[in-house]
Amino acid sequence: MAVSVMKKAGRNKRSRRTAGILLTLPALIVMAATVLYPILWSLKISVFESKGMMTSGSFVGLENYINVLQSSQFQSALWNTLGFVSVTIIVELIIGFAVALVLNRSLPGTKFFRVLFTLPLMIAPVVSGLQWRWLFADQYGVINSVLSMIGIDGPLWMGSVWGARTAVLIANVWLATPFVILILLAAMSSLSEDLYEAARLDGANAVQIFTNITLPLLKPAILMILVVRLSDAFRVFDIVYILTQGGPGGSTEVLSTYIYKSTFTGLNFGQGSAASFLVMIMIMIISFGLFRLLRPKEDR
Amino acid sequence: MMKSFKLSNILSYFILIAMSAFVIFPFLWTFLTSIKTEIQMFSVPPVWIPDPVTTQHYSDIIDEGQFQAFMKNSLTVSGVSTLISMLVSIPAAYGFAKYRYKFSGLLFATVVAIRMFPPIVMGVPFFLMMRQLGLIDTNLALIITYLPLQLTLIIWILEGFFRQIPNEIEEAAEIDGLGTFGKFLKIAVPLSMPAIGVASIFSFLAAWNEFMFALTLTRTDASQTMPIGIAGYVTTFQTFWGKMSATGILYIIPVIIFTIFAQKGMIKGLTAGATKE
Repeated sequence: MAVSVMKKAGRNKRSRRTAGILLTLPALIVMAATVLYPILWSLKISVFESKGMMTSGSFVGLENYINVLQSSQFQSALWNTLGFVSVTIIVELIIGFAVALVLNRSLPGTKFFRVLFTLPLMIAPVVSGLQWRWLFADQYGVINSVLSMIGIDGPLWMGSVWGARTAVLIANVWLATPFVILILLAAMSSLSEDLYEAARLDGANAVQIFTNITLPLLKPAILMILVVRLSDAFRVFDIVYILTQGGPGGSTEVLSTYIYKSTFTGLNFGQGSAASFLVMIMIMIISFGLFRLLRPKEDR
Repeated sequence: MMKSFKLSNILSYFILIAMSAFVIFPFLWTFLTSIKTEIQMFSVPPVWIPDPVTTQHYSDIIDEGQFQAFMKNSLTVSGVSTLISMLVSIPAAYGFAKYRYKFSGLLFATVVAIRMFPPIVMGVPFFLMMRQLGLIDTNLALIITYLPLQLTLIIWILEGFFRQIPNEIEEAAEIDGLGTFGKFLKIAVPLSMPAIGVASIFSFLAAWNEFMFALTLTRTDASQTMPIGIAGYVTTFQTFWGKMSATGILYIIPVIIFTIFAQKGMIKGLTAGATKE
């Protein structure tokens, strides 16, 4: 029946509307069942007291939310996440810019490097996490062995606060920098050569060209990188879970691992749900703020 | 002039080679570990070139049979969920791109916004839902769970491609008597085949690489996927670096081959948003 309705869809407005609804409806139904319904359920759980695996306690209003906000674990997970997000994005942007600028010069062999640098993007974060855990291993890890060969006593990476944080950062930079490179490269290659020609004629040097032409024109690409990488970094789970499990002493605990632990280890579904919603709201506010901040002035 | 040109080339290649070393080293070390004996694996200073080379870890994981179970679960879950997602979301992407109705813009924005949510937000309700449906530790639980992840991804990638199809082509098709359904099947889909290919690869990869939901929804090798299986070799209680490495290599080789062959399309798919107006 749907097909016969769609066949008749002609140029008139009403049948176009029907066609649009019919085309999008199956996906919307699936989304409603797999996103909307669970989220509403979670919202309900977040305002009820939960006891162990049971979720049918009494109505407690915003108590779960207040408990989460007041818990020191949540606060330290929040600060760890914010620190992780900002450092990882800055490092990725610096490396990403350096590599993309070089690749954009189209020197011989850059095609090969481009394929090579895409690989980490396709790899499961779990595998990357395990690879780095083996590389960073205290006793038999190759990183510490190489360090000791050149006379440096490597730290106990996973046993020390900054060692563990550095390991998580490096593993994540390995996974995500390729994305930054690809986006910057795509945006750079669409910039017009004429502008650069004109700037060179005016006697601008490489640094001036970069800061006055390249950077401003790449603003939309940078915005996109920030928004995508920000929400990715906010949800980081696999790498941390595999590498450090939030330790030592909660020093690498991030929001996702905190929510996971309080829900599935601490078995407090109410607080887990409440924490999820708090994280969701934070990401929405930050993304919205970024859009406002970095969008070109004319369409504000 | 000539000299500074050369200097900048040397600097460029230095950056490229440093980055390559950073990217390749973890892969290389995992591969080397997978063909080393236990003694060489733990020797100090490290053994760089394995001698003798052993395939022990590979035959171990295959003999134990768990590898096949993880592989079967991963293929089933990723394949079936991708298939369902594609069937549902290709028409949806076309609908959002070419047809307007009340709230269609808002609905599309919502679909895109859902991509930004941290998946852990869905962890609690999915677990409760699957427990109530009695689906914990089944492939079906993961298939259902992966649908929203894939739908939002596919719709996001394909909407842009469908929007680029010139309206003139569609109008010509209408004059030839094609309705919505005909235009979709005979014009939009064939023209977007490369993009659809890219979207399906990414959708498959999203399921193939997923860890967190699999961790909460699976219990035994009746439903555990590769990421869970691999992580299981290295826990607080046991560390089988050899088996982990061998499994990891077998798990990522298809992905690497795919990336090399389909890299042009994949880069296009990844960067679609950056060049979108």
